Amino acid sequence: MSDRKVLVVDDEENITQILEFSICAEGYQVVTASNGEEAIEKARKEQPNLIILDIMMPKVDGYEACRILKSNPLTKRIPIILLTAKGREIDKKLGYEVGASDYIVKPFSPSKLVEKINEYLYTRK
Amino acid sequence: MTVFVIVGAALIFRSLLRGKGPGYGKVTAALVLLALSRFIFVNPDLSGMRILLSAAYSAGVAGFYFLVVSILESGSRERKDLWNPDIVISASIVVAPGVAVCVWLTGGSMTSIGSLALVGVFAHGGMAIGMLRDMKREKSEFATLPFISVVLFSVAGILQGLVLSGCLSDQTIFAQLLSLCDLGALALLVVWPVSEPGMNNIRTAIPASGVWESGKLTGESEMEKIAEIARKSASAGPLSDKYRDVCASLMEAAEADFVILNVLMDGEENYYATASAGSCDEFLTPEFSRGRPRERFEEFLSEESLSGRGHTISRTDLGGDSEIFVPQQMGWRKDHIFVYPIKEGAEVPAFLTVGFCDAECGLGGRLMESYASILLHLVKRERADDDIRDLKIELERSRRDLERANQLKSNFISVISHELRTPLTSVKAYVETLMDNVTSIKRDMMEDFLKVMKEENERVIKLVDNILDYSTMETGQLRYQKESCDIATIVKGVYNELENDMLKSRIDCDIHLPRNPVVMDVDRDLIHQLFFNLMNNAIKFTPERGRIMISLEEEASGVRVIVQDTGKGIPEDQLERVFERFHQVDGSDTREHGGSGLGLAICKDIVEWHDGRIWVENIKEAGARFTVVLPVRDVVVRTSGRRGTVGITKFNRERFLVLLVDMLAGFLQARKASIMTLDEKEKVLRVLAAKGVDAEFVQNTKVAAGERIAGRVFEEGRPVHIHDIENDEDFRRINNSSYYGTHSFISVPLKEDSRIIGVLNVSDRVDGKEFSESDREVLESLTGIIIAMLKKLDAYEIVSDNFNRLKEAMEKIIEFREGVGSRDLSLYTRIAVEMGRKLGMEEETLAAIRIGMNIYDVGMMKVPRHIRGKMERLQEGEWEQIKKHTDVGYTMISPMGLDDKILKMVRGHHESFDGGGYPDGLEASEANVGSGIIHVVDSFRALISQSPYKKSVTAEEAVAEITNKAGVKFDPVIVRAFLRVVEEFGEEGILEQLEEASGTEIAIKKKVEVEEESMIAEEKV
Repeated sequence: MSDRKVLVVDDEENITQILEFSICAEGYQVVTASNGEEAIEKARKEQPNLIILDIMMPKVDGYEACRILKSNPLTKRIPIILLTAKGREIDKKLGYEVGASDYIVKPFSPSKLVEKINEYLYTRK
Repeated sequence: MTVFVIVGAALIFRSLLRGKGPGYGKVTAALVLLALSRFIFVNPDLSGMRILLSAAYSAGVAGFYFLVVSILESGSRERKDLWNPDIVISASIVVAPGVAVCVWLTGGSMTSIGSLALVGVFAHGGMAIGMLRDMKREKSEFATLPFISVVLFSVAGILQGLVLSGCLSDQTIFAQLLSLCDLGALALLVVWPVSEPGMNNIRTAIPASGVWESGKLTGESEMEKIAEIARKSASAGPLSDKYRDVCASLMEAAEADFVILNVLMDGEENYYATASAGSCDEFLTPEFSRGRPRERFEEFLSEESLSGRGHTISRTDLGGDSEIFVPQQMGWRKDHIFVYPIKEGAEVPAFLTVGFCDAECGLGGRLMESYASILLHLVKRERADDDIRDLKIELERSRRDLERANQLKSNFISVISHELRTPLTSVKAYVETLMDNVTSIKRDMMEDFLKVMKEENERVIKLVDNILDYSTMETGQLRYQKESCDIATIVKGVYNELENDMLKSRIDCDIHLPRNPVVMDVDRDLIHQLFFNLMNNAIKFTPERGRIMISLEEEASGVRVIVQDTGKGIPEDQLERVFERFHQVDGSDTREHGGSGLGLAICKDIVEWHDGRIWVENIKEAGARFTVVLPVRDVVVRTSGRRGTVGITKFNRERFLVLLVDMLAGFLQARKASIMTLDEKEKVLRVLAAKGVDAEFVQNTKVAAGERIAGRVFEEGRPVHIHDIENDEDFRRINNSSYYGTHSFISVPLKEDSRIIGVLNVSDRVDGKEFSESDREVLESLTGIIIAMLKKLDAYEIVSDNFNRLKEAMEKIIEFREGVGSRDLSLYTRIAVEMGRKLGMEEETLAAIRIGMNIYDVGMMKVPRHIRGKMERLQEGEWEQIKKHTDVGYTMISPMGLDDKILKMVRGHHESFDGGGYPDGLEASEANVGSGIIHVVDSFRALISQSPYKKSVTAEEAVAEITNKAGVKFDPVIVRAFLRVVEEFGEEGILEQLEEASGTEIAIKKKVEVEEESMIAEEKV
């Protein structure tokens, strides 16, 4: 088991569950959170190597969470992949503006996402 | 010969003098030549002039042909074509003898001459017959003179043919007769008055049999005047000016004293004096100008009496009806007036009164027709303008609706795309992962995956169903069928379906249903969906360990279902918007609750289809409370089939009557109510609008005076109050119609001065009890409002603003009653009436209190829901708005024609004993005891109700609070009466009923506990 850790944030339990399954299968550790607030807290505490972040969530939304994470010295180096149903160009643009490294639109293909995760975690070895 | 020359010369001279155009001259010249040639032809002495004869004859035939054509054309308007078969035949008939003459002149065989001549004989005859037939068929009116002239020509032609064919010899008396006929025809043409130049004059002059005798009117200048008026009336500008101009012009032309234009309005019920000119102007009272019923004119305007044209009517003929034509105060200068109908097909949308004149005034005819057609054009334009105005309003409204719909639709798309993507994302992710790992994945894991996929799949299906439901409903494709269903069973069924969901979220549910079935005509599926959506919503918004309350009650207007949750409620500014489609209270990215935003919109549609109402309010320290009121049966308005013309549309009229009957039934707590009015024409009572009965009954029932209950009430002018029809000797026998299938019944006459114009009926109390004397009292005092309203509706006084005000007042009254709940309201009303009785008030005043109690807070309904429903402390401005409600209510109901006492109660029910109340800061006085009573009862209601402002207190605490305020806020005398009533009612258990209803939550809980206990007890046994 690799020591690399991925934080998966989504308010849909089904999504976090399947992501956990796929990412674990690749040998990474997985931490989950179900809203923005929890995500920020876990990112600080767990110091993951990568964050998969949903946008439409209760309490603190994904954009806001991303902005906060990127402005905190403790977490700003962690790459963030936004995984969201918001598929318009303007949404993507906003995502990159708040500091996301990548943007994947739902519905997504888990194998492709895993490839992307691999890319991030290998290059940053 | 000499005579011929003189007549011919006179005719030609005349044509040169009067006729400017070529047509007339040519025709006359041709006719003269024709006649002359015939004359030469039958006089052998003149045979030397045969060449001349031949030429003259040809020219004459051509002219005659034109005359025939023009007469035929005027007889039948469609025959514009000169080569029309009829005309060609007629012409050939004329031409044939001409050719025969030519053949004879050139020495042709006698056989051919004879046959051609015979054709001519038949032709002339055929033409005369054809013209007679045309006249009869077309009903066109030929001028007598030219007609005789043509006939004489024809006779001459026949005789000529006979001479030619050799049947008659040249010298017989018939040959002489031929010339006499020709001469007569020509002479007639000389005296035939012709006013216009050119060929047209023949056409226009022919139908004008009754041409205005006065020389002035037939002249050219008059025609120009008409043309001028017609031009003016076609230009832009106010119609009223144009009407007046036309009338003035007509008056001048007819040398009359006055002209009045009467136009049919009000859904074709009454003639209005729309415009006038002359000496009548100062006498035109408003009563005269409007609303003279059509029936009164029928005798004078009917087809038989007018034969399509105007006629003079003498003052003696009119008798008592003279004031419907001429204002009463106006003196008659001469004994006759001239009445001219302006017709459109068989209808008479307007008529003219011209006066004064002698019996043989000779008005009418062509000129009058011209004026009439200008006026008809204006009347039609006015009607079209009204339609256009209505359309414009309608258009603007739909434009706004569309804009709104568009906005909501884009809102919907963003919401729905998220709602659809979420489950689809899960399904895709799970399916792909499963496929990638199909060999390695463990069995239990696979089961987990499949379960998730199934759930998510169902989520999509549900969402799509919801959208489809809504779109079918929106496009009206959904066919709904009303059938008798027990609403309680439906509610219970939904509860059972959702029980598991509630268990999951550990939500308690208190459900309070009546023991007896609540049967109503509804669509079972839709009502099921309605309650499913409401309860599902309640579950969705209630946190874990929360509670949901459901209750169902039957009352006067129908069934009331309440679904209340313990969620966080609905922001005040959105209380009304939650029912809009695609609206989400929380539309942000961070919302916690999913959904298409269609659930409540569907609910609203379903309720409105059942003519019910749905609304939501917040409950302090609880959550949101949704209330649905479904009416028992709709009000049915009899359709009169007449078209509304001015100011008020058919739709508005119906809506108005529906509200009126609803209000009536509501006040009396009656399941059935109807307004019957006298049909003036048939002299029978007919249902104007009714609640609780079949549409067919409303449409077809006719009750003659003295027949059945309503007829008796109408005849005798006294109310009938039957406590129990089964045991009533008098009425048991006549209780044979479906309408009276009832136990208790009140019927009161609608009296206007001493005339009875209709009957009000109520029957079948909601609670199954008999109607009391006090109910009758209330019904009788309501007759005033009903008459006032009906009169306004009939006189179409209710135009635009005024109508909308009245409509709003009635809507708000119904809203107020529904808001309190009619069962509660009737209990509070009983308290108020008993208080009045203790204070020694008369029955009449008690009836006023009863009505007052039904409407006093109507002004509150104008305060926006987010203010009256506000949970926090009110801001200064908001409090001001609340304080205005008494005044607002007063203004709202003042046009209804209610008793002054009632108006005072509505305005004064927040005045305090010490003068510290609002709106007028009045101190207590004799005059406002009624409002004092309502003030106390209203405060009592406010205290024990669970209102948005505060939690309810017990009846005991409320009574104590009111006693404390005696001498300050309330009149001590009134409070004493209140305490006595409360004591009596307390013994009857009425206070508990009120507490129970007002604090639904607590009461329901108690009931459920009791039921559970009894169930446990049963199980033990």
